Amino acid sequence: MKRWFSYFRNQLPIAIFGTILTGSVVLIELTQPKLMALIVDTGIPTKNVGLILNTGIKMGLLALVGAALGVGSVICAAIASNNFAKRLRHEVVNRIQTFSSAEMDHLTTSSLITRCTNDINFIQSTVLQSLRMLVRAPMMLVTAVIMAYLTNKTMSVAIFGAVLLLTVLLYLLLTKGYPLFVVMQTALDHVNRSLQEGLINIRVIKSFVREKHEDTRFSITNEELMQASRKANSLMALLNPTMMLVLNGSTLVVMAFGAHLILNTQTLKIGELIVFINYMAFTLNSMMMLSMTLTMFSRSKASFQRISQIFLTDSEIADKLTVSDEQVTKGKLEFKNVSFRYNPESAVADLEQLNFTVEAGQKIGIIGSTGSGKTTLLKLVVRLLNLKEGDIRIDDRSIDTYSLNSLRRSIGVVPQKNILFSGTIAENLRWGNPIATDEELWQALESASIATFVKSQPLGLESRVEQGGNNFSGGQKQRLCIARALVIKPKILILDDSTSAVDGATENKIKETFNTQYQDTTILMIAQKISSVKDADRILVLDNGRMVGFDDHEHLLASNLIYHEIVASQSGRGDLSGQ
Amino acid sequence: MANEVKPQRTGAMMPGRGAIYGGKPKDTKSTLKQVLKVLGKNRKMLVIVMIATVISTLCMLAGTYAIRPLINQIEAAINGTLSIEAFFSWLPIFLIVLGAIYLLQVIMTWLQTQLMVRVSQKTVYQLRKDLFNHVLHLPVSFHDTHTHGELMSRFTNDIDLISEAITNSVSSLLNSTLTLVGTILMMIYLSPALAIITIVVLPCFSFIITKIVNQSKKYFRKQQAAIGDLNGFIEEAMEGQQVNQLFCHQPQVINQFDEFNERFRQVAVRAQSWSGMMIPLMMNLNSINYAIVAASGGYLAIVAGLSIGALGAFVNSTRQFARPLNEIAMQYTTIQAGLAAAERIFEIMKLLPEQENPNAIDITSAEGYVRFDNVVFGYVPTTQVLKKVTFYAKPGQKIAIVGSTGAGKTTITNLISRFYDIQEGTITLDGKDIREINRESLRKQMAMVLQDTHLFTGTVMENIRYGNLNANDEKCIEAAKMANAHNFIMKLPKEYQTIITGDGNELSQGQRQLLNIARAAVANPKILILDEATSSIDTRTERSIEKGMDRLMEGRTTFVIAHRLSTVRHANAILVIENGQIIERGDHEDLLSQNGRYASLVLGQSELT
Repeated sequence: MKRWFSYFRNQLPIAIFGTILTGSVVLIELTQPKLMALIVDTGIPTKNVGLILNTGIKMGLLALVGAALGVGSVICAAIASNNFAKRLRHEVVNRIQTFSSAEMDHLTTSSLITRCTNDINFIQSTVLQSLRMLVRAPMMLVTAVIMAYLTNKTMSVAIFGAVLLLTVLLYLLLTKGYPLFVVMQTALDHVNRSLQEGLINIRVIKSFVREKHEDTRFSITNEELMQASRKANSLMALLNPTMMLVLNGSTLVVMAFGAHLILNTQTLKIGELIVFINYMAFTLNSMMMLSMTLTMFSRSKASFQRISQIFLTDSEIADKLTVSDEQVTKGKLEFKNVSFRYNPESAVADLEQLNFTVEAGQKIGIIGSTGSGKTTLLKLVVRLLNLKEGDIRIDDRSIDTYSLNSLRRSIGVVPQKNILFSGTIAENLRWGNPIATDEELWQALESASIATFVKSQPLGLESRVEQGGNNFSGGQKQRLCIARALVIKPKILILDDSTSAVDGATENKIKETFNTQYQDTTILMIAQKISSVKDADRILVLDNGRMVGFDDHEHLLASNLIYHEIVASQSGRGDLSGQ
Repeated sequence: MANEVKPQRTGAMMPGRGAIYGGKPKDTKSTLKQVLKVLGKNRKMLVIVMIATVISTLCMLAGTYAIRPLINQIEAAINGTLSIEAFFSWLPIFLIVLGAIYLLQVIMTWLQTQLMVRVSQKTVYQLRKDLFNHVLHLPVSFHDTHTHGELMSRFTNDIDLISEAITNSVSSLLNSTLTLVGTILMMIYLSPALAIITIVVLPCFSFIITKIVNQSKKYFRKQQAAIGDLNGFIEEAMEGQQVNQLFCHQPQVINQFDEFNERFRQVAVRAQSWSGMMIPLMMNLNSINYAIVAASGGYLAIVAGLSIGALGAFVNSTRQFARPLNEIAMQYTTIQAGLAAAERIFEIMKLLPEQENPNAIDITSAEGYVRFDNVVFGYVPTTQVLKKVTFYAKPGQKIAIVGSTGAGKTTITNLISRFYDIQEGTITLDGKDIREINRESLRKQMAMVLQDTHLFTGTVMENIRYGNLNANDEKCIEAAKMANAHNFIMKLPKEYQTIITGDGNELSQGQRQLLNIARAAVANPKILILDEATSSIDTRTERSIEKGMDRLMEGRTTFVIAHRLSTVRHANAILVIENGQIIERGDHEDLLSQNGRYASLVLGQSELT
């Protein structure tokens, strides 16, 4: 709560100003019936045309002022709520930027996107509504009741009674309604899920001729949704008649009572009776407004919670206070008793007791089945995941003694998913090194065997990259990503299955370049294809999170069962594709 | 007054979103006709709703008018023209009559709102049902050319807009119109002079409403564009999160994001200011009207003897005057948005489902002899994807199809299953042109395992049984064993009764694929199509499911489409497709010795793009 408020604090002056405006509008609106009473009770009986005109003009002017103030208050609310939403969005995105890969997986990218967009938008409109209504409604309520009380104390009992009754009724409706809306939301989720599955699996459905089956499945959820929303909406549809019932009932009471007061005790004037009935409408009306806003509030609870969850997730990866900005100079990499589990409670570790040393400049291959922990290993080195057990050392220092920036500036990574960003090729290449010269870019492109392709593009380095790099083929994307990592001139280069879509000849050329021009660079090459790693100085074989081999191709082939199996799985009778 | 208590649809992002984003229908008349046809199924209820609305509106008007006799009588009692006793014997009768009117109004409102909920929920239910059913039966080409997001938006946003229009607008429009007319008539009756004054103010109102609506429309459009940019940026930043972290690029991301964020804030403030302005402006404009009426009414009371009761009633109706106008303006846009949404839905409903040849025959069991003869096909008639392709597969043979992305491999499966029909040439099954065979019975002869491993939410057993709804548990387990899936299933918390979700993370991709294979196995088809079935699985895992696959392929005509060459090696024949033509054919050894494209692919000398 404190955090939310601190983001709103800067908007307080404008919000308060808007509130004052709203309050003034309420006062003006409530003064109008009073002036009306003046015309009816004094102006007309005394036949005072001047007074009538005067009051009329006063009313008109007040209305103009009211319009101006009303517009002002709306603008204030729009500014305050949108500034707040902007701040919130900024903070949320800022925070998400620091999340580790485990935290991203846990919250899921798609859900984070929804949180930054829909949820914040919903919160914004809730704040907007609240600024308009949460002030206006109670103020109207209180003022109307007070004014009614001042107009006639005895009769205001009727208003108090009505308010009390309506409060109870609205409370009952809303508390009964809320769980019904929860049920409706669940039913809606089910319908959406059936829909989505039906659409995604259309080929499966058609090939098995299951249209009717799907139709029945959908009908069940659809029926469930109809029943649920009918229940919820029917209950909510009671609001209007209930309100009408109370308003009408109390109007009758006021009429009877009013007539008695005017004629029997002479304590009320006719004009005041009209005013009174008006106030009653104001009162009950503002109660409705209040209940509407409260419903909206309770519905936006989910959005608030989802955003709060982001704030409550403290990224496990942050610089310690004692880090140094020293860069990695050589590129020696050591794993000491490294274990890792994504789920801390799980009995089976995702990586178990890894111990190995890679000397600076060595070229290492890492191989294993999907799920054997290859990418996890990589993420630990660059601290996309936080190491909890064991120690990873680079140049004989634990990785968490480097600042995140200096660590990551020393390690070039080519991730498995070849993500490029919309922009130009040059912009993408400079992602990690904004000050790289064109010459350096070309050099990296050359090393990644993609320079010829870029040269052949009409715009060269300035060629457009579509979102996700979708205007390039898989192999081209991979090579651009390799170039991007080379632009930062890393001491350690990690390639995560980064040549899978590159043809053998080109792959060999790239490897050749690594061996000749990047002799000082430590290279870890994660791969599925034996052919990609078999020339490496050493190959690390992972199986279910354990290191089962760390040697060169010949030795592994001779003695390592799992390595042998992998090799066998990639070579057929002709043993050709595995070469 | 009631314009303030209108329920704010909280689902809408911004007030009046539907109205402004929903657009206008292109052909209002025919869409309206269709909507009425759908609504017509609830004709009886709608008639009752209308009657109830009319009655409750009349009651409300009567209630407003009732203040006149009351005040006039009180005044008469004060002036002495009516004795106090007479007044108090009149009062109970008055109150009872008014009470009855009030009660009737409440009952009718209750009836109307409850029925409207029913009508709208039933209509929306029917629409959703019809649309889903229709979409299921539309040809695959429709699904290939429309994104899921786009279709989902028909089912969610558009249906919401329609439901909103029905629930709120239909009766409220009727109610508002009646109120407006009734109020004007009553005003004229109460005091023609005052009525003229009020009516003169009317055009001013509508002028201001249109101005504001136009402005807010303009800014909402800008807001929509800005939010699109902002969301696009967020999406890219989130998806590229790790890369940004790895390359220490976060500060730049935040800076760029702040620019988008600020741009959106600016237009959002404008859009929401304009749309929010409507209510205070209308309220206060109405107060001006009120002031004019009060002043001139007071004047008339003195000069022309207008009764105070009439003035009171008139002033009250002035309060009521702005509401229906405001309401009509708002509902008009909601209804337009609803109609536009309905039009988008009807556009889909108009599309023809898969058409069946009237003379098509049913086949019950096929041998599995498939033949392509000079097949020409293009997704759009101008670009041919397959150019005169000819090949055959004898019953039980395994045919592999290899080639670059876009070369036309998947097209072949699309054609065998008649997801698409060919333009020239013939495809025959056991010598019969497949266009002469009833689609459903044709598809029942085959099963597919596709690259994406989506499943259905439900138990493991249900997912396997999907291939053959008549299969009992034993059959399904047998199929799972055959697909090598049994072992991992037995390790799941509830074995075969474990609930899995469509995309959930309970299973690995390999495991999902095994279930897909089991599903195909239980279908026991004559023809099997494996379209990149193992491309998302690593080779060692692939090895482990290979046995299951081999057993599945036994005795069936099988088409294997693959990117990875290790999967196709054992095929009876391998077809290499480039640019829509078969450039090489033969078995693994033949093709290697030909030393052509296939050999160079296998030797890793060229890249599949």
